[in-house]
Amino acid sequence: MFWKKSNLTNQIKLKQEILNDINLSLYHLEKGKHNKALDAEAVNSLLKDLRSSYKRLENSFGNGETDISLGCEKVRKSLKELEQAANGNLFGRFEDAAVNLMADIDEIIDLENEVISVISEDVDNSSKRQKTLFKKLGEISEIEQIFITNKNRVEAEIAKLERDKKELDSKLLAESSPRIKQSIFRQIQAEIKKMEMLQVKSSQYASCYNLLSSIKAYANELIKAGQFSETELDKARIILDINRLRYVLDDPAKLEPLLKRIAADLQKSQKSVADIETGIDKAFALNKESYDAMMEYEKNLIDERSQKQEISGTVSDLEEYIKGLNK
Amino acid sequence: MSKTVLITLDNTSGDYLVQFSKKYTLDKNVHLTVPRGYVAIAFINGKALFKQSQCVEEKVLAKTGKEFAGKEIQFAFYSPNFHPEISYGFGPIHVKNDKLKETYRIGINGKMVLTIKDYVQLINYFSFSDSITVEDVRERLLPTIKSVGIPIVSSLFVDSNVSVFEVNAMIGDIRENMSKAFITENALENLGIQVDSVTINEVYVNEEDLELIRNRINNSTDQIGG
Repeated sequence: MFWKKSNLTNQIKLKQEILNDINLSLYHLEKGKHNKALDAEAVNSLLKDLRSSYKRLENSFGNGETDISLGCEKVRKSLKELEQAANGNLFGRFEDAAVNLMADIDEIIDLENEVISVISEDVDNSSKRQKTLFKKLGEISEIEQIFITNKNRVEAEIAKLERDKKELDSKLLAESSPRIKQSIFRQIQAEIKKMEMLQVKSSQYASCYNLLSSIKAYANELIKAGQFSETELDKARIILDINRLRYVLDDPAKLEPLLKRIAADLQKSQKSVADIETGIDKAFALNKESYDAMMEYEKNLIDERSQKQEISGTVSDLEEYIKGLNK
Repeated sequence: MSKTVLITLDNTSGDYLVQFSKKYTLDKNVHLTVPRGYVAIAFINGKALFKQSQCVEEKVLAKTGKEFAGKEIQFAFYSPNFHPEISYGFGPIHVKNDKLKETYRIGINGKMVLTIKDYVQLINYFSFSDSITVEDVRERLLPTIKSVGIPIVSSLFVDSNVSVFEVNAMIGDIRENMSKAFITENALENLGIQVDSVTINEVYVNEEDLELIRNRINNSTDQIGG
């Protein structure tokens, strides 16, 4: 006999899945699988707070009727951002992502505890064209992620080689036999060559990442501005040529026309912004003239009044004044 | 016709933090009543799955769905707005104040108001399916209160200029320091408990020590006078 699964079963499944996802990510980060450029102590302190949020979520239950699917979606999105930030080298990004994740977890807990009745949906006013372009932007993020992962992997490899070289250096100094010394030296030379080669690859990954990152930031702005201008969307569409961007590693020169286009566009925007600012300054100058005239008038008025006050006084004041003159 | 099984809370006295119902096999006859101000957590095969606030004779299977039929169900009842108050006391603490050249033993007693932040964590901490009383929690907390409180009290008395005859003047400082320390105490967090407020009824000094110090002071005054 078959029947439709109850809402409770579905909610339990959703909850278990999201708990597993969070746990797995936190486990990896707690084991130190994040960019070593991030301050380990600060990362661990945030991870402790995240673990505490995870435990609270694990121990929280709804009444079987609450729908946490939207909350799970938001948590999953924040989790992805946290993983990306963990691979980057900026702690501020990691902290922002961790705080967002905690807030999203709290939202599910509050929904289950009936503190709120519904999970707020992120308002999305973007048009169909914008959505498509945002999707493409997401693809760039993925490519970007591949570069940063590769860079971190190569860096870790270089660190290992450096450690080995240091050990071989010590051995070389301690060894007395010229034959063994020769052998160790050959090994050291090989290690140095490997390091040099990997260093080149690491720099290549880093520069490709930085390049994509700048293009992504610019395209993101263009898409957002697309709400007011279709031309901006057209520009974003040209920039977001995924095929061209995907092969940036093989031949960064392929991106040269694109970069030139961005530079020209920026220059044009800069000029128009400068023109607008000049216009505003002129308008303000006119206002300023009238403002200065008003201030001048007010100052004269105040001076006039204070002079009158100096002259005015009681009869006794006048007598005092005459006495003073006679003396 | 099969008999209806009604699961409800037996005892609403303030001694209990969590009360477990008996275990039942879930079928269409199992009904649940949760009194006003209470919440019931449903444990199916020992795993907490959902909670239910106030209701009258609600059919449990309708809520869980048929897929849970035949499984073992048990409810844990608690009152979310209940803030248990526990009394505590610890001592003797040996105080050696070099500034005032006094050594004596003191003790502290007072009360704490608690908030249960996470009932599931509290249930997991105790043996499953045994009801949890305020006294059970007090017994678990006393060693922690002692281990947190003794160093705080000792350090405050050692560095102070307050004489053994005016120990109650320290109540404010002790209370403040203990409150701060309990906010970050892991043992409480593990129990799912948070300390709302700490009060100190009395700081008492050992009578013999007090007498000895009094005699010493009186003798030295006599010598100066005599």
